Amino acid sequence: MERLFERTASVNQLLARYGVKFGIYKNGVFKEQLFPFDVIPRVIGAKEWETLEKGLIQRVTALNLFLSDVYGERKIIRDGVVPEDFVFSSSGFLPQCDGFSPVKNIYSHISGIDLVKGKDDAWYILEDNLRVPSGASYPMIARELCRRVSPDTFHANHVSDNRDYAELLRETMDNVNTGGLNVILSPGRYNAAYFEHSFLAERTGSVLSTGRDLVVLNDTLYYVGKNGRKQRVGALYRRISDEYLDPLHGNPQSLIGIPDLYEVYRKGNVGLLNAMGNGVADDKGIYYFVPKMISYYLGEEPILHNAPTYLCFYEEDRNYTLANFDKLVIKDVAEAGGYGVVFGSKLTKEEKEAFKQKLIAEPRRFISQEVIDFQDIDILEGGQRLPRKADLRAFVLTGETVKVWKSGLTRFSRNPDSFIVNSSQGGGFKDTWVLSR
Amino acid sequence: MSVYRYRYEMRISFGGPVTNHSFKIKCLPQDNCRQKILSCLWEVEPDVPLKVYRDWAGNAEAHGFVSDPHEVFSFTVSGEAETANDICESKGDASPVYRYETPLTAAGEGLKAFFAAQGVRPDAPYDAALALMHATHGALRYEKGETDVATSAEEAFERGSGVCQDYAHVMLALCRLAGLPSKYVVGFIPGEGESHAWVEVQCRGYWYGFDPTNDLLVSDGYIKISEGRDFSDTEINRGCFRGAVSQEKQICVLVEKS
Repeated sequence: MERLFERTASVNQLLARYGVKFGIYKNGVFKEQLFPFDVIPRVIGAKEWETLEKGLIQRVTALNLFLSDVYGERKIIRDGVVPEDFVFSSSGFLPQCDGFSPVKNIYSHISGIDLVKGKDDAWYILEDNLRVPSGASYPMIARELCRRVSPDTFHANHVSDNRDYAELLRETMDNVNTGGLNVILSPGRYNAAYFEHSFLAERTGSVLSTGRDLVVLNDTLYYVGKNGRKQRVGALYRRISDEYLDPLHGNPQSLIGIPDLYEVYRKGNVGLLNAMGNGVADDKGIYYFVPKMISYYLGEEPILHNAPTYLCFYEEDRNYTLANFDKLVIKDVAEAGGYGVVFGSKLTKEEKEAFKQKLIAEPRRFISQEVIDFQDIDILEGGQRLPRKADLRAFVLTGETVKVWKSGLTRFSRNPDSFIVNSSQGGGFKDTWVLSR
Repeated sequence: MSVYRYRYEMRISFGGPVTNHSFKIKCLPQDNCRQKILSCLWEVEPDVPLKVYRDWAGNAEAHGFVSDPHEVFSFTVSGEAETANDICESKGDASPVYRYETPLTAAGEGLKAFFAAQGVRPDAPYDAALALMHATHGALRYEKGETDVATSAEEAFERGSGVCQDYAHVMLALCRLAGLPSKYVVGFIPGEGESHAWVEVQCRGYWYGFDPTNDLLVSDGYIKISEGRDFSDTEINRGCFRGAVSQEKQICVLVEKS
């Protein structure tokens, strides 16, 4: 492992040369920056992984059942397990997805589940990302480059091979392919994850396309080649959010979508990964109910736990939140990417009062959580090992069966005082090693 | 019971040629308890094949695609409809979404306080809806050109003025605060001008139409085109095309007793 550490600079140089970047908008200007890589990996033992894997499969299975139920019979609402307010007032609930099922009834094909490991050695789920979770390409390429600079490290440490992500993804697309090409739909060059879109297309043998080269005819989706030749699209792995997908249905200003794609989808003429309307299940309010979903749909005890969460919608939880404001982290359920997250203790007295008023006025909008004291992982900085907060995004793929990729994206905060590790907030990433024994 | 002739014409002139124009027209009135569509004729220019879909709310919409360059896009819908004097429509389960606010019908501080001051009784839904219609009518002044399709109920309320769409959004915000399932309705009323918007509220299982702009119950002469949670579900025309140019839209509606 030491040999790998010594070569950290060369890995980062290679990453830069391969264009491993992500883009951010700062003050309205698009800037692409390198995603800093730290060579010290997160290491997960074989036994520990076994539990994680089981728990993640269980969770994603329940979430898919929930989506199918919410856009179908709504048994979970009728049975009083999830209050309907959390479903129908969520901006992620799309009435146009009501009453029909996507191909093979799969909603979340690619799920990015964010976890942290507490000082008590237990893993806690932080959030479920069921819309367009990104990030798998970073550990893929980092591993590849590390392997190049230090080939024996991985074998010597019994690290499970993670080169199978592309294969898993291709299987997942093939599983819902209705006959035709696999296409990855990207918003284009000026998107935060464009590197990833092109990388995954290359590795899975899919066509990388923008909305401009895709056209709908007779409720069927076609990819139009440069020569004008049309080829049918069977599976569309879209990296565009629901509202921009079809300008005739969502945001009319969308220039990146495909007119009438919705009609193709509704007829079941294309496998859309992920399905439309998933936002209703990865809402921070719905998060609170996921353990209940697992018991409800599967009749099982949840293997992985949520961070202790309070739903301000419930009076008891709201009062607890107001009384314990300083020790809690409060999240706006409508925001993502580390935005809308507030640590009660970091606010000034005036800010605190203003925030509490907002919370009382719109309790449905907020959840609060105990701050989990999660384990640090060292990073190398200026030749020194420094402890930093880090989380893990696990990738769970739902095809014929549900599979968890034996790797994941470990993100760390560069700021020693920060708990927020999102790449859009300037963090870095690490490889995630799952040991084979 | 009377028969009305209706005609809706929309004409968009582009400042230059556009291509790859996908469009959707949601202007196909349908039969219901209160109206029978005796005829409905369609004309679209450029003349391309249309495909009719039904959206989640049950509205019919025609989709088409013009690939060749064109500088004008227009469509006309015309026909005859017979309307009834009944004030309520059929009983039926409402999609739960009609009970919840949308971005355009979200109540802010102003509307919440206004609602509280009305003291409506949710156990008497019809009276409550009627009271909220009067309240909406009294809270706004009819003024064209001050608001647009993106103006929310709260913004219109704070401004104190707007057009039929704003009246409808304000009333919807109030009804949803009262927990009453309510719909935004687009349609025709006798006269010349543009399309009209009003509100339907479900009271004891039946849908009643309220026109807060005119402070009237919906009755003879109101022809429904489509319905939804708010304006965005009922937009009569939407299109996207290539060619970054200016556009000018003209709408002409004529409804008269035949």
